[in-house]
Amino acid sequence: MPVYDQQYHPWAGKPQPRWRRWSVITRYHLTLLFTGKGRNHLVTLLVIAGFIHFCFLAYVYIMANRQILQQYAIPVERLPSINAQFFLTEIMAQSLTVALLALIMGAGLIADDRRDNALPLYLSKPLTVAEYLLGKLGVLALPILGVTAVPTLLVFGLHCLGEGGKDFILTYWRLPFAIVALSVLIALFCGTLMLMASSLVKKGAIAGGMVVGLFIGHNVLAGVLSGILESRKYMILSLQFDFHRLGLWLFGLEHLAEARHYPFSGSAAGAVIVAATALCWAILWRQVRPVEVVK
Amino acid sequence: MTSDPIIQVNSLSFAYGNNVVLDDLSFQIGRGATGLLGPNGAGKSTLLKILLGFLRPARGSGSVLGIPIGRGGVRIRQRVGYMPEHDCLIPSLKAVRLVMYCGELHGLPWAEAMQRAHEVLFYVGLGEARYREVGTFSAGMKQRLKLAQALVASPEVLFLDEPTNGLDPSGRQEMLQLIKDVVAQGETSVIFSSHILHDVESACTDVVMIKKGRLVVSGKIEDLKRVEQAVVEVRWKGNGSGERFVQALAGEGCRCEQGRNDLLRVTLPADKSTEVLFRAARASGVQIRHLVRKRDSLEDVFLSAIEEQN
Amino acid sequence: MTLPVALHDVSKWYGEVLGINGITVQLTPGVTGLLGPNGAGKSTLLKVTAGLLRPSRGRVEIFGADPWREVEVYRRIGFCHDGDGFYDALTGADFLLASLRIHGFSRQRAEAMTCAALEQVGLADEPRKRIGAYSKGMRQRLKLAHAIAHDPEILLLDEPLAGMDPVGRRRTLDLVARWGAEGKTVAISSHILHEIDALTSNIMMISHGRLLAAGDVHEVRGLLREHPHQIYLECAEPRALAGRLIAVEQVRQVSLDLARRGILIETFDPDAVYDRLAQVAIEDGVSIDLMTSPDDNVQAVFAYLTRSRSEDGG
Repeated sequence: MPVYDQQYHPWAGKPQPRWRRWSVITRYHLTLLFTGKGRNHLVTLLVIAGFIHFCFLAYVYIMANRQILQQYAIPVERLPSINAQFFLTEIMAQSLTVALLALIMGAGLIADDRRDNALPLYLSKPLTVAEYLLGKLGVLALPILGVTAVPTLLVFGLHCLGEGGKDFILTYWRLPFAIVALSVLIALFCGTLMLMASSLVKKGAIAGGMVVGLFIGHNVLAGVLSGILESRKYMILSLQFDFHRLGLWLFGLEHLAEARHYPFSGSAAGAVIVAATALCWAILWRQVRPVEVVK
Repeated sequence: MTSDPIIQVNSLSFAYGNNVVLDDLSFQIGRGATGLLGPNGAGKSTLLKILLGFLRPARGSGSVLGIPIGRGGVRIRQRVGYMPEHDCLIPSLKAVRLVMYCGELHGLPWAEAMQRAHEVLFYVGLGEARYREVGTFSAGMKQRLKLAQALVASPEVLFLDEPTNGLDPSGRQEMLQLIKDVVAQGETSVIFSSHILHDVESACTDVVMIKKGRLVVSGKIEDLKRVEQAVVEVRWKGNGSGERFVQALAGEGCRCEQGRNDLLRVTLPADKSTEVLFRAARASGVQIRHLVRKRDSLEDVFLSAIEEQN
Repeated sequence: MTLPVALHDVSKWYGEVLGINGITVQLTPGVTGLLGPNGAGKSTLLKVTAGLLRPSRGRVEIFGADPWREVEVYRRIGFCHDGDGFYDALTGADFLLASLRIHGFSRQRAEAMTCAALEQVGLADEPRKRIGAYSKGMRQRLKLAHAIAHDPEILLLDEPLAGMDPVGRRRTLDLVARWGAEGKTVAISSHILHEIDALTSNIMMISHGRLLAAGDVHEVRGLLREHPHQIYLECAEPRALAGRLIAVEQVRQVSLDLARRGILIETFDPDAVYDRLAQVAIEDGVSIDLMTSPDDNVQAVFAYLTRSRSEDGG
């Protein structure tokens, strides 16, 4: 009968590939978020987001079976048909859930680490600052994509399988790319903005307040400027409008009155969004410095 | 096991603006336990930052485990563990979760990180507390946990920054014992940075001392300590009088000097052994309770090296 | 003569949290080391003594006066707390000056005392530096300067060495030793036992809020009769000497450490064994290179006292 040595043994395995390292942070935070205190809020939000998509899906189903409506003498011809605008509306309908998701999940992401002085814990590991930030960004970006791009693409696919058919695909083949592009930009922007706010303070609640303040503040600013200078051009400063304008452009809806209503182009709106995201990222980069690991 | 140095630094220089922090610093550290010493502002933390790859030296080169510093930060940290000086733990996590997380960040697969976290926590003596939230831990337990998170991926080099900070005497003893045990396993070398020279002396075999960014002394602690064979420190006890004892010693040709805290420092004549002390003690009716040849402590070595620099 | 510090059955609790529990002790001029594990109540004890906390039960006397009621007594107490709170915008000199003015000294007098205090702790070189720019060691020294600036007779120092580098530690310990030698009553708490060992043999140990021991460490060791005394020797011929010693009636155990040429003796009657040892050394002409009592120092006494207590408790 052998007696086994119960002493300390070094680990001799092979480490996981480096490129996957950031996902550890994302996975860990997502697990914590869905087992922690705020779980119920998150689940409620996701249910609401899912319900909104379900309504769109139901509409697709009904339009595919319009004879049902005809039985009830509902004028089917007057109902909006399923086109690019329909899918843009589906994504934009998630604005509020996306904003709330970012606030609930993101407020403490970096602020808590700053409060606990936990940065050394991360950065003394084989992990760069970029990977750390990417991991934290993933915590926000993945769920946001999960409530925007993923279900919208599903509805699109179902419509193609059903009533749409080959003609619809041929007409709207660019739409899936537009859906992904817009959702990714929304996720990146909301994610970096939230992370930036979170990296500036040591309390998640304050970071959340900051983001709400920024959102209201910059819209007010854009409105005031437009009013004083009597030019709607300044509405480009409002990111809310920028996303809508960009969406119209990406979804090929330039001809709509809605689009002509904006005195700036979709690409200009896109540029503002990218610039704002870059600014947030730059501030983040300044805030999370590995030099502070050793004091 | 090779005898290559684990850390090598050649004429390393670094400055924040005009403030020169490291100035043409060169040294080598071999396997085992090495103390990294220096007064405040000596450049220890800057050196650590460079070795861990957070700062790039202005001039000079160096390597950790053969990986060049400067560009190899992540590759170095893959094989190195770091125990920060200050509190850095996430209080809302369970201990095992925290260590696991650190293991995964080091690249361990989930299941292995989990198994390993349990092993390491038992190893540092936190086995019973591994399902408790870190926020409820005492100072000593937090310190052990910081060691555990650094050990989880079996680093080849372990940087310890003031590991006995805030610990009470028994906590310090246990922490030092753990560090010694880690070194004794032979797989891990330890770089021990501390202001408590007594701790460094008990855990390390080698030291590197820097001051104002320059190397002061490096080498084996044993070799650095001078022993003065002729001088012994004596403490006596008994009903007899101290004066008579001193007189008796003088009669034998010894020189006496009152040292700190009732120690008597006696210089023996060249041809006499310690037997004369006992003879003098018996003659004056006292007992010798303590007799040690005067020998530098690491603190003496440190303080005199720092003095010389001034 | 009234004692500088006397505590009579002093307890201090915060709601259900017990800080110190029925401590009766006196401090005499000279340095006393205050030792105990984390959470033993050292800080509470020092604060109660300094009059910063009101004892929940019992009586504190500073030169016969109650420090909680009689503010005048504060002039005779210097207290160095364990926190790290300063007005970072002030210079060290301004801070001391303000505190001395509060003590009621005239401006001129206070300025002179400020200089003297900064000089003592070695901060005089940079009197115009803001406290915010001080290093950890400098902040600690400023706390010490603050404690001694008004030249008190009693000094209560709570972990004054924490965070200091070796140069600062040596300097501070020398200062404390000097204050003790000048006749001040100094109580200093620390976790670094060997530093206390080198500083003073007069100790006070507390654990779980209760006093474990107070007095000379060697005498305290002598009272711990359940632990045999250890004597460690090194000489050229350990085996021969061990043979002689095993024959001594009072010797309980002898073990050899041939690698270090050492002998470890255990006995319950150290006086007799030391006598015989001296006799053997003289008769046989054995040259003893080293003789220590590994368990007759602050570290060992601390370990014995805290261990046996926690074992009793658990």
